[in-house]
Amino acid sequence: MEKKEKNLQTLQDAFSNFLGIQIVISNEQGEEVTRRSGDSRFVDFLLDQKDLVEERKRIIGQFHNISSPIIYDFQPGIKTFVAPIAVNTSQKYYLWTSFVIDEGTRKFIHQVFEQNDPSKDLKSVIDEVPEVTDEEKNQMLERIGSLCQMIAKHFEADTNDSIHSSSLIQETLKDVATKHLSMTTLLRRVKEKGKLGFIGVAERTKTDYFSIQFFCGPDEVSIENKKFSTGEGFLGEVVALGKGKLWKDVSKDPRVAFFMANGLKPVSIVAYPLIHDDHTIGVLFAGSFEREIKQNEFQSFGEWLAQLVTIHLQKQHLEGKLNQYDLQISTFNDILQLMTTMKDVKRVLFVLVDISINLTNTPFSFVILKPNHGKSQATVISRGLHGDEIQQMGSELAQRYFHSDGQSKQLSPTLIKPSHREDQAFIIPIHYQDEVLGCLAIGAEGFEKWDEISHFLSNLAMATGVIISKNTEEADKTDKVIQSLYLSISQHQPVEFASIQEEQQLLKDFLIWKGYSYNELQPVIDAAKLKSIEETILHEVLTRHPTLGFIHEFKRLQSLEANPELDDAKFREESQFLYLVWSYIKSNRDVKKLDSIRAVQNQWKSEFKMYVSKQDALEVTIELSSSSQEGRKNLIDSIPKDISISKREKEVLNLVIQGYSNKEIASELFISDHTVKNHVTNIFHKLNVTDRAQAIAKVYQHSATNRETLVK
Amino acid sequence: MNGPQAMLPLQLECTLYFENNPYAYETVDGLSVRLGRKAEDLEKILEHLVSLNIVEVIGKGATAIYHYNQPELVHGVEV
Repeated sequence: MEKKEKNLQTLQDAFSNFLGIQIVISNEQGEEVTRRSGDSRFVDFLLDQKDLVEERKRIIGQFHNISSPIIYDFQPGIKTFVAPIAVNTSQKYYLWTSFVIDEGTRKFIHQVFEQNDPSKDLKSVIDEVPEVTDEEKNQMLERIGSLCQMIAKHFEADTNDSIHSSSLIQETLKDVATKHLSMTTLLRRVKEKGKLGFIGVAERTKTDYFSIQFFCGPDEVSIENKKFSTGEGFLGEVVALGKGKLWKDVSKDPRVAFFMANGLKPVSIVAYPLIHDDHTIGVLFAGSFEREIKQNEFQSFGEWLAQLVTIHLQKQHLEGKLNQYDLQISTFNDILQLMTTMKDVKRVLFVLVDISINLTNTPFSFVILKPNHGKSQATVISRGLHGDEIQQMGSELAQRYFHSDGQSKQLSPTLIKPSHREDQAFIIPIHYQDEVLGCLAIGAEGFEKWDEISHFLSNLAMATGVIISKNTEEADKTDKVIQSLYLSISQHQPVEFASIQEEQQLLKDFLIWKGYSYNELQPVIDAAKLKSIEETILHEVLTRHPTLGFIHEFKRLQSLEANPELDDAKFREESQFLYLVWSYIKSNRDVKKLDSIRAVQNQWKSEFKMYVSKQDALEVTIELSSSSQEGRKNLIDSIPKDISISKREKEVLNLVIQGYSNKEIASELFISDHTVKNHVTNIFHKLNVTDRAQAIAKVYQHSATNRETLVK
Repeated sequence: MNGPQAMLPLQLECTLYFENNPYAYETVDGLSVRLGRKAEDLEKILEHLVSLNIVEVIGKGATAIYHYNQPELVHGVEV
């Protein structure tokens, strides 16, 4: 008996280590027959307060009829697991664990004990009791049940027959209790101590086959990844039977070919199904080469080992899930951090496409962005799809998610079969709140783990939606602020407002003539609009906006002009143009007065004077069209028909007039920079001009000629 | 660093590096210094990223140079 209780202690230590809880086993009188394994501050606290032997005796009295583990509320909300171990009809033990509380109930438990805990000692102890979910409680109940069965089997076995296995169990358990063994190490120890030829574990695959995942045998022999189905061979038979089996003298059994193919020639084989939740999740098997495995040798040890391996597999599986969860959180943070630092939405979408490919290794990953309102052309980022495939996939996704009449409000990931493809595609809408902003489509061929990654990719797509939306909102918000401030000037300073209107139009035309792009000139134009407002107010509402720098320099130029001895700091040319135009308008367009401006470099003054004199010449005959689309259209249409400008060239010219650079035109018209360059060269050739400024002037000239003709 | 799953964190780290530095041209040793990772681990991963077309390689062996291969960007897809 002494030997058995020693084994019992080792077994208990091992499980306490496995489950991470304190365990102790008592007899029917509540007296401890093992030492407590593991730590629990709550149990230590109770030991100072109560006689736990009496407490156990009381509980056993209440529940002496239980045949499986129960959860007992030792104090309101503070629970322990109590499990009976029926060794035989006359002998029964009880297993007791440390305490747990239900998830989210700690606050209520504190309220219950608050009045009787003036020193707050109990509160600090309760704070250390782990919280568990219902699922975790059920898992613990199941594992404790397994442990109790193992203990009972161990005690049931005849002492003389199980000497070998008892010592084997004890030695193996010692290893398990003291070290965090890997499955391979555990199997290797069992193989060595049990004098076995080989031992292995097969796990059920997704396709209901079993595949050998762990194997310890003779050096340089491995049958890892070898598969079998339910009912097939020795190993498949135990899956079908649902219980372990020992085969002796198998050397002439045809089923031994499964092992012989890899050079293993066993004389006996033993196998056990690994059962979890009434479901066979794997098979533990072993074989000997020289001696027969005896029936009694594995009767208790084999079943015990099978249960240990089952728990080990479940633990590994759980740890794997946790590791994956940790990986997902840290990876997600890294990706998100990168995305939020990217100012260009396209690059954010590159990340989304690349991460999808990384996670799935599938044939393609594709992102389409919903076009702005009223536009029918979308931007696509694709890996793996090209040419027509991009067009077809884009149309299909737009039909499903973008078109108002056909838009599905489904924002969750879904698997679809695109009409133009043989394989399926996994679709994740990129949305912000209820608005779909785009779609991520990933090829589904050869990838089965959507359950594992769909949540991750959905979150990433959602983050992308927020970034896209934020970028658009920020730009819109700043534009609105600038426009509101500008309009407020019209209310409070109508004369000044009229002057600013004139000024900003001239500045814009001049900068376009100079070859500035829209993006380059806009902050300068904004500065022209807002420069009469206090800088402190502007800094308040337009934090770090580029226009603030121009306004500041403009005001310094004003000071410098009034007091030339202040300093001779350098100013950006845009600020100098801003100051020149303002001075020019203020002097009622008197070109001569430009010469007297000291704060602006002569080079810029000459250029501006040249522009103004050219415009004066033109203004005699033409009326500058409005900047509206209609006005520009009329400008382009005014080009004589004998100058045969194609439809595409007209589109390009229209954008040239608006000050777009070649790159911006390419982006706007969805053509390459090279094509734009070709169109621009052709336009210059047809208009008989050599640069953009001349081209614009020519268009205005034609417009003026047309108007004159109409007037006449 | 055996199975593909075990390689994934480093694979993503490499991908994010190239995405964040789209104009970088790196040898395995150079990348090893930049990321503080073992060159032998990176070799396998870069090979895999090349097979996924995320990274392009110029040359072979120790002098092979890797750089980011931007996905196809298409404007004007009629929807």
